[in-house]
Amino acid sequence: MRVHTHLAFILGFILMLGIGWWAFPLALYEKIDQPVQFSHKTHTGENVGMACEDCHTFREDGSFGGIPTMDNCTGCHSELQGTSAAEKVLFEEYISKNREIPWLVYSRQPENVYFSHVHHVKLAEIDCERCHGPHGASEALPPYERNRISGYSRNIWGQSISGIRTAPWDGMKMDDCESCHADHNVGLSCMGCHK
Amino acid sequence: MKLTNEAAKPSASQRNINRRHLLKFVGGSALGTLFTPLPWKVLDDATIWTQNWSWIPVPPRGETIIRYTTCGLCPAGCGVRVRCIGSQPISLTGLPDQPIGRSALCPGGLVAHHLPYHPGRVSHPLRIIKTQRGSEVRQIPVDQALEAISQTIADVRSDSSAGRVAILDMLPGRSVSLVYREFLSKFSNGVYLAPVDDTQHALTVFAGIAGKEYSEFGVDLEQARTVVSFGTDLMEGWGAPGRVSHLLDSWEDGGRLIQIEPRYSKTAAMADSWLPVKPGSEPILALSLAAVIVNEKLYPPEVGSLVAQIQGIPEARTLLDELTPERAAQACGIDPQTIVTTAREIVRQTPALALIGGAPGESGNQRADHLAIGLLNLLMGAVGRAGGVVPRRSLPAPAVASSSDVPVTRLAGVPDRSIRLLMIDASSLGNSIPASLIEAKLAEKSLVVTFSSFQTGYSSISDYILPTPLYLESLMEVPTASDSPVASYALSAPLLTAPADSLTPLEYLGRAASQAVLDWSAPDAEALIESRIQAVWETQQGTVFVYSEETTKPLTDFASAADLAQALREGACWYDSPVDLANLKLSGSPYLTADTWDRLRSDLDQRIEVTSAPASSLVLMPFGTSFMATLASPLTGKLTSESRLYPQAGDAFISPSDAARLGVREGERAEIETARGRLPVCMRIDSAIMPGLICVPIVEVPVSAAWSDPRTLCEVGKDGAWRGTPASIRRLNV
Repeated sequence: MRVHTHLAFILGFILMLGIGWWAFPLALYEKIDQPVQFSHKTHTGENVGMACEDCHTFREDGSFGGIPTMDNCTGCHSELQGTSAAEKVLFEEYISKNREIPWLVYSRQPENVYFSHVHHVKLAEIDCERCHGPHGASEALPPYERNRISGYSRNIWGQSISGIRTAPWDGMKMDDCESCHADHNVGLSCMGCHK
Repeated sequence: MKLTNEAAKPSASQRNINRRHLLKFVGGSALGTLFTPLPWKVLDDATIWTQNWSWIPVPPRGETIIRYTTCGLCPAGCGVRVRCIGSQPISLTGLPDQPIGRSALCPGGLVAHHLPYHPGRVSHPLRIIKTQRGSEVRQIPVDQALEAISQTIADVRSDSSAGRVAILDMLPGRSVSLVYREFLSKFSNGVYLAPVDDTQHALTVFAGIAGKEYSEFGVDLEQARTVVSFGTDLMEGWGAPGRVSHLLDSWEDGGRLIQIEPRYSKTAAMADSWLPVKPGSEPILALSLAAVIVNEKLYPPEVGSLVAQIQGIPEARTLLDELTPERAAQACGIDPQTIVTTAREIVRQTPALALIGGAPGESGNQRADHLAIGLLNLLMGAVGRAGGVVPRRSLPAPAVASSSDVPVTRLAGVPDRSIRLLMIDASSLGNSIPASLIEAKLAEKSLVVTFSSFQTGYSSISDYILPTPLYLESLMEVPTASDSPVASYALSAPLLTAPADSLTPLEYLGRAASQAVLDWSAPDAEALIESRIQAVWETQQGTVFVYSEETTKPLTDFASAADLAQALREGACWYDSPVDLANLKLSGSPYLTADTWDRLRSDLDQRIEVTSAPASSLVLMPFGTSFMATLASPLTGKLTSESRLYPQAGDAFISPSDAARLGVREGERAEIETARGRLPVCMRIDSAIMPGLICVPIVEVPVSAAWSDPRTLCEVGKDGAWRGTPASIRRLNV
C-alpha cells in the first residue's frame, strides 16, 4: 500500500512537472501569424544586398524609425517582382490598397519603458544582433507569440519558460537590460528607462 | 511450515484507488507545481495584466516630436526639452548646457506633464464655506464668484473706509504683475503685495554700496571658490536646481561649501563643513566671523579703506570688539576655536561669498541677519566682484504698463484688519505665505479669492478658488530668477489644453472689473508679452540661449523683436550682459552710519540674551522643503512618498536624545503645542536634528483637509515674519 500511495505522489509530481514545463508554455502563448510573410534573408542576401538600416532607419533628428512603413516597400514593389504568395499578399492587400501592414512587433516594450535605439546603436555601437539575434538572416517570420495573460510578446520574456537565457539576445526583460548595463559598466537610474 | 505471502498482498479495497491515493496525488502535484514556472509566471503575468487594464490611460503611439519650453513651476526658469507623441508631452528633460541654471530638472519639473491629472487639481470654480466643523467646498458657476468680487469692488469704491483692495502676487516680475499694480492704482487704497524674496532682500543692503542705479543683485556662484551659507537650502530648492550641484562638481580641484544651520539638512550633508548653530544665532556668528577678519586684518586690500571708515565709527568698533569668539560661542553653540578657524578659512580661498536664506514665506530673517551677512560679504571682498554679489540691470518693462502704479508692499506693512478684498495670484506654487499671517490683515467682512491650479495653503482663508491654467497649459512669462547674476527672460509655451472652466488671473480680473463698471480693462496678455519682448530686443545687449540648438547667440543676431519672440516661443532664454564691475564704486555704505550699528547692537543683544539662556523647552522650527517634491506625479507619487527621500506633510523630527528623554517612539502620533495652538504630527527620530529642536517641514501643495501649516503655530515678530517658537510635545497614546 505504501508503494502505491508513494506512486500516486510521484505520479502527481511528475505530471505537474510535465504540465508546468511543457504544456503550460504551449497554453500560455498564442501563436499569431504575421500579416505578410517576409524573408529578411532574401532582402539582405546577395541578390538584393540590403542592410538593416536601409529599412529600420534613423530619422534626421536621430530618433529611430522602428518598423518600416509601406513607403519602404513600394520603392521596389510598386509592381510585382516575382511570383511568391507572400509578395502577392503584400501587393494585393496593402500596396494596391495603400494600407500600412499591421506588423506584430516581437520586441515591443511595455508602455512604461523608454528605450532609445540611438543611444544603443549609434553611441554605444551595439550591433542589432546583440538584442534581436540573427533575425536579419531569417528565411521566414516566426509566428508572433502573445502571452495570453499579460499580452506581451514572448520575445520579451525569452524563449525558455524558465527565464534563463539561451543566447545573449534571448529576452528583453528589465533584468536583461540591467545585466548588460552592469557588464558594460553603464550607469542605471530608474528615470533612464521609466521616464 | 508452508510459507505464503498472503498477508503481504493488498486486499481488494487496498488495491482500488482511494482517498489516500488522491490526497497523495494532489500533494505530489502541488509539490511538482512548485518546481515548475507555472505559479511564478502566472503570478508575474497577472501582475502585468493588472497594469494593462483597458481603462488605464496609455500614451498615444506615433511619431516622436521634440519641443522646447521653459519650466514655469518656480522662478528658476529651467529650459525643458519635451518629448511629445503627437501633441501629448511624454517626458520632460533638462538642458544641461543652459547658462547659469544648468537646467537639471527637479522632481516636480520632471513630471510636470502629469500634473493636469493630479487629484488635487482645481478644474472648476469652488466656493469655500466655513462651517463650525471645518469648511465645505462647493462647485459653483464662475459668475457667482465674479459677482462677489465686483460687488466688493463697488463697495470699496463707494466707501473708502470699507477697507483696502489688495492683490498678493506670488510670482512678481511678470508683465501681468505690472498690470496688477496699474489696476490697483484705480483705488485710493490699493495694495500690491509680493512675498519677501529672501535672497534679494539680503542683497539689497548693498544698494547703496554698489551704486544707486542698481536695485537688483545676483550672485556669481559660478566663479566663487568658497560659499558660506547661513541656512540657505542650496541643495533643496534655492535657485535653479542644477546650479549648485554643477558648482560642486566644478570644485573637484578645490572649493569649499560651509553650511551654517541648526539642522543637518541635505545641503549640510553635501557641504565640506557644517556648523550647527542655535536657531536665531546666525547673525551673531556672522558678526563674530567678521570681527575675527577685522582684528586679524584678513580682509583684501581693496576694502581696507572701507574697513578703516567702519572702525572709525565708535559704535561699530565697540560692537566688533565686544563680540569675541568666546562670547559668540556661548550664544551660537559653536566653540571659539572653530569660529576663528572658519574666519581664516573663508578668506583663504577666494572669491568667497556668504549667502542667507531661510524657510519660505515671510521667513524669520530680519534686517540684523541681512546686515551681518552683508558685512561678512564686504570683508571677504565679495561685493561687486566676480564670484561674489554682483549688481544686475532690471528686466526691461513692457511699454503698455502705466508707470503710475502702486508700489510693492510687504505684508507686514499693511495694517491689521484692513483688507476688504484680497485676490491671490498663486501662479507660483511654492514659497507660500502662512495663511495665519494673511488672516491677521483681513477686515471683518473680507472677501478672499485665490486664482490657482491647486488647493494650496490659501484654501483655509479663501472664499473662492478660481481655476487657472497650469504650466504647459498657457503662455507664461518666466522673469529673472532671484539668484541670477544677470537679468533673464523666457517664455513657457502652452503644450496642453487647459480645463474648459479655467481662465488666467488677468482674465478673471478683467471680467470682474467689467461687471463692477470700473474704468479699467484688462490688456491683452499676449500684447503685453510682445511689448516686453520689444523692450528686451531694444536693449540690443546680452545673449540668447536657443534650446533646440543648445547654443548661445548674441541678441543682435535677431533682426527684429518678432524674430526674438518666435525664438522665445519655440524655446529660448535671453540673458542680459553682465554689469561692468571694473567701474563699480563701493560707496555710500549703510555700514558707515552709527544708526545702523546701534540697531544692529540692539538686535544682537536681544538675540544673545535669548540664545545664551539655558534651553528650558523645545523650539519649533519649521523648515522649507523642496515644494517640487510635494508636487509628485499621480503616477510616480507612490514611489516618492514611500521612498521618504523628502519629508512628508505631518512629520515632526526630533533628535534621538530628546526622543529618549520624552519617551517618544518612531512613528508615534503626537501633538505639538505652542501658545498659538496645536498640530497633530507623526514623530520621526532623526540624528540630523540638534537637541532642543522640533523640525517640521513646510509642505506646500497639494493640501488635504487635515493638513496644517506648522508656521501657524509660530510667534509672529514685529516685522510680520514668523519665528522659531517654544513648543512642547504631547504624546497621544499615553
